[in-house]
Amino acid sequence: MTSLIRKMAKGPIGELFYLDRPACVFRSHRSVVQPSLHQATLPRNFSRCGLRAASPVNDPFWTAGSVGTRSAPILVIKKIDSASEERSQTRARLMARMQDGDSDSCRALLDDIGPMVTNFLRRRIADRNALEDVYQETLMAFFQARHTYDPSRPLEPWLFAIARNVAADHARHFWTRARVEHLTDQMPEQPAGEEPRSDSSLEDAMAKLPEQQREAFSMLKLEGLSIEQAADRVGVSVGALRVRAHRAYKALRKLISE
Amino acid sequence: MSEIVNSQQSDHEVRHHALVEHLVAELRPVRRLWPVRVRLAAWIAIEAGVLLLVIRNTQRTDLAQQLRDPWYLFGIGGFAVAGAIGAAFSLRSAIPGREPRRIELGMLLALTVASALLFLHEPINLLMPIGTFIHEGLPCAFGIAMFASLPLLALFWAVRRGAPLAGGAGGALAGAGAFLLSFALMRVNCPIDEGLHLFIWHFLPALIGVALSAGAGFLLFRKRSRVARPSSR
Repeated sequence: MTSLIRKMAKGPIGELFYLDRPACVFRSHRSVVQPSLHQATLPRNFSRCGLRAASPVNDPFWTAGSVGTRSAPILVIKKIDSASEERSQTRARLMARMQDGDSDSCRALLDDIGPMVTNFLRRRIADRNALEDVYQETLMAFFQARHTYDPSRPLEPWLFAIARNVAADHARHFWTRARVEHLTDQMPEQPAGEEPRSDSSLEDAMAKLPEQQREAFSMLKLEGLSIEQAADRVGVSVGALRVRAHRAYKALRKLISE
Repeated sequence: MSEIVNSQQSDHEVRHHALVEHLVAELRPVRRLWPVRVRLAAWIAIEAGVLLLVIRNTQRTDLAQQLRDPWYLFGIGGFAVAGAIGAAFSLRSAIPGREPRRIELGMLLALTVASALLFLHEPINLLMPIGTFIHEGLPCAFGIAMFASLPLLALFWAVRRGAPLAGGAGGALAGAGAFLLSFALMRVNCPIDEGLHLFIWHFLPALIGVALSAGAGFLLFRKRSRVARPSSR
């Protein structure tokens, strides 16, 4: 948001700027940002900025806010994609039918919101295994809470509130567990006097590991990559890869000792 | 690398479809929640019933005279409005995405504190014997709990019908709704207008009630999983 404002402030006053993403409310002594997203008409201060709209002011698909210093306000306008508005209304209709027990609408809606929920959660959860779990939890919570949805309102804020809550719950549990478990990227020392295991038993045990854990183990221990390199290769955070590796070590230790 | 991504993608899709089919199989028609304002109106009707009961059985002989005193009216009105707002917030807290914002909660707290500060206007008698103080106060504390019980049960039932995401907060707000209004009702019922009595035997029990409600909400509004996870992962 800060970079967005800086970019705006350099532009000539009186030009229309387009927001490429929803803005959050931001205040400082130098600049004032009061975006009023998803509102049907332009804000009252529109005329005070001395600007002329590039489109009819009462166009329902405009969203606007003011950015800039108090003495030199700049209007920021983004035209909401009318197709996305339509999609949102379709989702609300599907949800209403789902509340009435229509299974086709339920299927269509869950398929429709799936990618949206995944993208939303991906920004909050790095670990793919955990992401899959949280995704399932979110859809189940969505399903269970369906009677609380009001079809006259947009579906997305309701859905994202559920997703945010499930993700926050997951994060709480993760940190509680992390405080108890000691995560390490080093294999535990082998007890003295114990027979070294053969490669075949390790291979057998590795074959039983979930794919992501096997991948983490093999990159760190067989290919000899650093944890940063391995995380970079898979496209996950270092912490997530460390968790996978830790789980792999635990599982391998258990499998080999059986 | 792309193979890994593709296999993860298809794995996700397989799980997604399994989950969707599982949920579709579980799908039943549901009864939508009434709008918040309708449920709030129903709750206020319950409170109005309790108020009528209090007015008919009040121990105050000077109620008509007191109602002309602006300090008394502000005291009662402040707590009554705070209680109604707390009830509205608790009903909203049962709907995902409509939970009260921090600024709204701050305003509720400010209104409650401002109403409580009106106690300072009441005279304080520090010379009252402790036995008398307790003897006069205990029925008031009991009354606060009694007046709050039915509205609190109604609010808990209403919140539980929804899908509260934060159980403790939902319970605390329901408690605030019931107990702050109960405080206002008790001011109509109790003839003692003494600051310490009001604080110890009216306000503190109401605060304790809110805290207990938060605990009860935490336990009662825990997410209940009525749908089992699909077995195939």
